[in-house]
This record gives sequence, C-alpha cells and structure tokens, in this order.
Amino acid sequence: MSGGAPERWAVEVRGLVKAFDHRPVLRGVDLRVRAGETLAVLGANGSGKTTLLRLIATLSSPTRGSVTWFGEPSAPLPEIRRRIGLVPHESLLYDALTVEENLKFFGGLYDLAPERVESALDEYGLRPLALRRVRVLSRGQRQQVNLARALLHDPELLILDEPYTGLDVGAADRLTATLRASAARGCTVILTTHDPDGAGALGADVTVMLDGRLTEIMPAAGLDAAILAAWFREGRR
Amino acid sequence: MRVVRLLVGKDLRLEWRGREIVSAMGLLALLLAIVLGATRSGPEAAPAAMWVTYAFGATLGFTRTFTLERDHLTALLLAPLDRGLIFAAKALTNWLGLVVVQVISLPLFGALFTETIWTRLPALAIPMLLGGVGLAAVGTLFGGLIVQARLREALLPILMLPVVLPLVIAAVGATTGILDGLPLWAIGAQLQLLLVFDIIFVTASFLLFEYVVEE
Repeated sequence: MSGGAPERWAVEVRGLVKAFDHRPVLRGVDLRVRAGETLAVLGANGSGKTTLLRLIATLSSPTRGSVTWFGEPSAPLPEIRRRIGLVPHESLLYDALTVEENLKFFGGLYDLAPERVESALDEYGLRPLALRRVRVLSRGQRQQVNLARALLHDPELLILDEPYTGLDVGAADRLTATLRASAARGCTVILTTHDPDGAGALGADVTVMLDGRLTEIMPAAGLDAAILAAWFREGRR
Repeated sequence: MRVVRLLVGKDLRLEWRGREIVSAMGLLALLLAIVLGATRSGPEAAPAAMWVTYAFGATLGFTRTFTLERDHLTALLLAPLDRGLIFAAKALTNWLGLVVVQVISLPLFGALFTETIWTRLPALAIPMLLGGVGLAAVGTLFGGLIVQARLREALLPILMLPVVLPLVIAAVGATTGILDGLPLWAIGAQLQLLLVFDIIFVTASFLLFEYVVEE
C-alpha cells in the first residue's frame, strides 16, 4: 500500500503463543485483519481455532506475543470489549428467559436503551419469537437470537466460532445474510468454519490453522491443494 | 449499582422460575436440622446446629449458582464491566438465597431446640446476617474458581469450609450469647469479629474475583 490513508487494522496478532499445561496450542500466530474485512479461519478440530478466537475476544491471555485491537495498543480492555461481539460455539442465552428478556438483559450490560432491543427484534426477524423461552427454540432459532445478542451493541468486530454447525439450509442462509449485512455496514467479521465453500459464499478470505500457526490469507477459492492436504492430514492425527 | 441490580434481577428471575438453588439448600437445611435435632435437641446445641446447617446449605447452593451460570459466564466476562461487579452481584444473590434458607429453617430450630429463638429474634438476626455475608463472599469466590472443575460439588466444601471456620466459630459464639439471654454489648467482641471477617472476606474476594475467572 502506498499513497492514500494508512490501513486500519481491526486486529493485529503478533507472535502469539498459547500453551495449556506447557503444551503449546498456538505456536506463533501472526495475523492482521483489516477493518471491515471478513476472514474465515479454517482448520481441523483441536487445531487451536477456538483458542485463537478467545484470545482475540479478550477472554484469555497469551502465553507470549500480543494482540492489538483497532490500532489502539493502550486502550483499556473494557473499552475494547464494548466494541467486540462474540458468538461462541455454545449458546450464551439463558434458557429459562424469553428471547426478549435475554436481549434486554444483554442490552443492559452494554447500557443500551430498551428501544434498541425493540428495534433488534424487528431487525433480526425475532418479533414472532420475542415472548418464547429460549429452551423451546430450535438450534437455528437459538443461533439467530445468539447472533442478535452479539450484534445488539453494534460491535466493530464480530467473532463467531463455527456458527454454521448444526444449522439447516434455511437457517444457514439467514446467518449468511446477517453476516453479509453486518460486513456491509463496516463490521469486521472473523469466524471459524470447516467449510471453505461456506466461507466463499460469505465473500470471506480464508486462512488455515496448521500445526499451531496460520497460513497466509487468501481468497476462499484460492486454497491450494497442498494446504488442503495438510489440513486433512492434521484432522486425521 | 445499575449493573449489579441488573445481574441480581436476572439471577432472581431465573431462580424464581427454576427454584433450583433455594430448594436444594432448603431441603439440605431441613434434613440437617431434623437429624441434628433428633440427635441432641437441648437448647445449648442450637447455635452449633444452626451454623452447621447454614454452612453446608451454603456450599450446596453456591456450587449450583455458578454451575447454572457456567455456560453464560463468557458473555458476562466479555461485557464492558468491572469483573468485581459480577462478583458483587453473585455474592448478593447467594446471600439472599442463604437468608431465605435461614428464615425457613428457623421455625424448625425453634421447635426442635429452643423456643428462645422466637423471643430473641431481632438480636439473632444480627449474627445471622453478618455470618451470612461472610459465607456468601467466600463461597462466591471459590464457586467462581471451581466452576469449570469436574468435581466442583466436592471441591467447594473442601476449599470453603476451612477458610470460613473462624467466621462460623464467631457466629456460633454470638448466637450462643444471644440465646443465653446476654445483652448485645456483652457479645460485642464476637459481633465485631464477624464484621471484621466480613470486611476482609468481601474486600479480598472482590479484588481476587477477576483473577479466579481468568482462564
């Protein structure tokens, strides 16, 4: 890049190492994600994708290396957290509360006005489910509510851990549409997935977690055979 | 305060709908009170029986509080909150649960051990409240520490009870004095000790909570 405005990085990860009980899961991850970009992290189960996302989401501290958010290395963590939305693999919703109660509660944590919850119910097509308790919702409906929860405070960075797992075609299409709309609004999206084609449908670039490190970022259609073969080998280990 | 109110309100609503924590604590408290009452039901045994019941009821209930929150803790930790506020809200919920158990078990202690409980009720409320605060603070801290552990139901009493032992002894001493008909000034030392324990436990737990919920 030369000339124009300097690039804005939503996330910069440098030399990231994370070990559990002296066993390294991440062995020196470097990653830079531009603001407004959508990036899919591919990789075998247990390769460290979720660990990387938790570090980027401020939920875990690195053993070595650093993560910088929004180009602001000295910003306090609560301020960073206010700008991040997370959809982990498990639902964070309270089963015994209704959809509306859940969204009001999580909106309250971010000090959002009740009107924001009302508008989110319409925006994410949740109005018909508003008074239903989460425990009676299908997996796809839960994921829809979970996504609305994560987007409620209009985060600049949205992180999703295998969001397509267990969704039928209709629910997956709705999720893709919501993620594309968020990206169109300028939200940076980082997700993990096992599905390069799904990442392509999302218009995402991809990188693959291999042996605790990330490959170069490339277009989803450009995944070369050697990387795919290494990925499948790691999956069989 | 707004966030603490929000978190406690959510916990109370969940408890009202599920009634998991108070019913588990209450059932254990009733069983313990009856068993202890059947073994030795003289008035002099009442304070020890009461505090054994509260301490064990608390360990059971406080483990459940965090078990129910385990899957949602990520969302709370990701929110732009001081994590001490999450502790404050959980401790307050735990303390309220313990107060409910104390209230519903009192008639049983009155019936099985000593009727003096009824005449000394206002004074008795002081050590019960002060002792409950200390139990809730320590129980909440250790509950957060072991939330991901597999044997957490067994771990909490092992970790919590030795730490709260001085508090429980002071609470038993104060309760004994009140049931013996002593004026409050005569048990001032025990009440002050309870207050000091509360201040230490609440402050230390508030400050340490951020580290215990770190991965």
